[in-house]
Amino acid sequence: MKIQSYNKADYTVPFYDTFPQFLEGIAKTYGSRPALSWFTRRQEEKTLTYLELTQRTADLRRGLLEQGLVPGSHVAILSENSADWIISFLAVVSCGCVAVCVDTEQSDSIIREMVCRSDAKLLFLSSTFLSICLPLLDSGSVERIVLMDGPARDEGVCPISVLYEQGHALEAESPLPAPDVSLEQTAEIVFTSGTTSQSKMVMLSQKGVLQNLCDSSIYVCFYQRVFCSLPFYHAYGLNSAVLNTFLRGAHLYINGDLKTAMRDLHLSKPDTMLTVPLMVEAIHNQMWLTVEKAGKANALKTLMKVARLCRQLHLPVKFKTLEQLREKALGTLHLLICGGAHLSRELSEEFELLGVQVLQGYGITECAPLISVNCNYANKIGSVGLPLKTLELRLDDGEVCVRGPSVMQGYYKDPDQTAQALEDGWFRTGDLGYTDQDGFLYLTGRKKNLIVFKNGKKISPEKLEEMLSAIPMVKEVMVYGTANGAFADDVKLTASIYPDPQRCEGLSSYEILEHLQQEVDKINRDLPTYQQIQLVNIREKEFNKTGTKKIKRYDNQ
Amino acid sequence: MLQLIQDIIYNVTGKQGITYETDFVQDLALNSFDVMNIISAFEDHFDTTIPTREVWHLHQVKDVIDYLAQKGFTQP
Repeated sequence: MKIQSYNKADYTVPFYDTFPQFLEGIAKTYGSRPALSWFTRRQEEKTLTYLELTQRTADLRRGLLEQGLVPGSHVAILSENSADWIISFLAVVSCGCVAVCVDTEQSDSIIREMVCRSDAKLLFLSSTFLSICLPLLDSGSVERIVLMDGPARDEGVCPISVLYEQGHALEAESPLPAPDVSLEQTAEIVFTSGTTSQSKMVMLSQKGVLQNLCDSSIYVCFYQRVFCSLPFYHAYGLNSAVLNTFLRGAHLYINGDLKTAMRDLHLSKPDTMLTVPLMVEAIHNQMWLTVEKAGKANALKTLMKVARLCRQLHLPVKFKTLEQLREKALGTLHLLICGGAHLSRELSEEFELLGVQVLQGYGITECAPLISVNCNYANKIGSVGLPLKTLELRLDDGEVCVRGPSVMQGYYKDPDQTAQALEDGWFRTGDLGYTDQDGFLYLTGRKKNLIVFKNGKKISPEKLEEMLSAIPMVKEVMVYGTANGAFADDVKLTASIYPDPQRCEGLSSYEILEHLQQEVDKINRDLPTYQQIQLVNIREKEFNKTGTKKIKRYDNQ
Repeated sequence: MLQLIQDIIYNVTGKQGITYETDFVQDLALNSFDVMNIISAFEDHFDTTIPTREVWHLHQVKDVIDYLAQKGFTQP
């Protein structure tokens, strides 16, 4: 089915209900167009067309079925972004299995715990994670590992190339028709940051995922070259960026490593990028650093002021210097789609002056993930856009609640949390906001304790507090984000500690702080950069508490 | 080696005054993306690869110097 786009009269959007239909549709419609490109360490560009992408998916799917994979099985994927990540995902979901998307930035033990909790018996992984996951094979928690890069040397580990070859030979002989998969079949299990110590496993159905990306394409037109360095284990990277680009037949450039994100951004010359505020700020800082080094910062600031004034007076903003700067710093980039956290109004406006449109969106894993987004032809800076057409949105005491086909099926193996989160189909987001007279949504804060960073990552303070409480000298601890700038998500992770008076007897404040800092440093060493505690402060008094002896978070910050 | 690291950090972030004890996150207030860009510049300079999960353990300038020394890179 095709429906008319919100954006342009001649822009239509294809709709699919299941992944087999989706793959058949994109192969038939876009065939020999380039679908997916990436760069090797030596900067060589590799490309797959839509036909090659879907054919390789069919080969791998056949290889998996031949190995005895049964529809409905859970298959975990644990790897840096890569073409094989995407093909493995598509192969798994298009034969009616469930892809478990594992967060690669977790510690070794959490990764193993995530795989075990998901009940995945088959595991796709890159060699980075092999030593972490081999114990799962030895203990029988996982039955088989498919290695996405490098030769396999261990028993029970099969290289992905063997499955491709096996599947390809069988498909060449007698291709299997597209599998019959139900709309309600769970397609993805994605982990949330969670507000408790364990992250929750969100189940998203075939229909739910596809409905979400089809709905979003009604509001947003991509251009032809799309760049994405968002991790695929998040619904934003996987659904909103990867699958959405394929739905539209555009050319997706992927980046497998944050270290080469800037390099690949320049090499791929995109016109569209899906990203988080952290990356937008990095591009912005890099641009200003270059200008400052050239001694032109003051001149540019003045020009920006003039351009801003012209915009306020509705005069055309056309300055050759700004165009040259955009070309040099941003190349062919014309559209930035930003989500995951709040992007400052100043930054959005500055990019607009340079000729780059910034569309802010809002999503949450439980909603597959998009809830609202601005449109190319109806963009209100400061808002997170219009709610998707098939989502009902209501504000319950200021809290954003949504209901619709892309809302999750529930949390895997957690009926209690599911019942708490879903009430008559309505999902409570925990975000506070309001809508204006045109229906645009604005977010004002959070009801839950999650700390949200500029890179879109979220962390529950309880997780870190649990780790810090294990330090013998800590009697009470509270972790929170200290404002580091003008916005709520521009934060420094801070631990406020009330030390155990008995253990601190005879020690000066300086000695206590030094000891605690050493212990915190030890904990930091096993955490990804964004989760590391940046500030430690000591309290002289216990924290104020509620009647049930919980620390009153907002009284104590 | 310290001079080389100072140059790389300045080129990537514009930050100066780097010592052996400088902590990327706590002292320079760098975010994960800045840290990755610096590591990427080291990789290019030494023509080596530093796995992303190992980057978590490189908190201070001296950690980077130790890491490179372990890999056999002691001279600029």
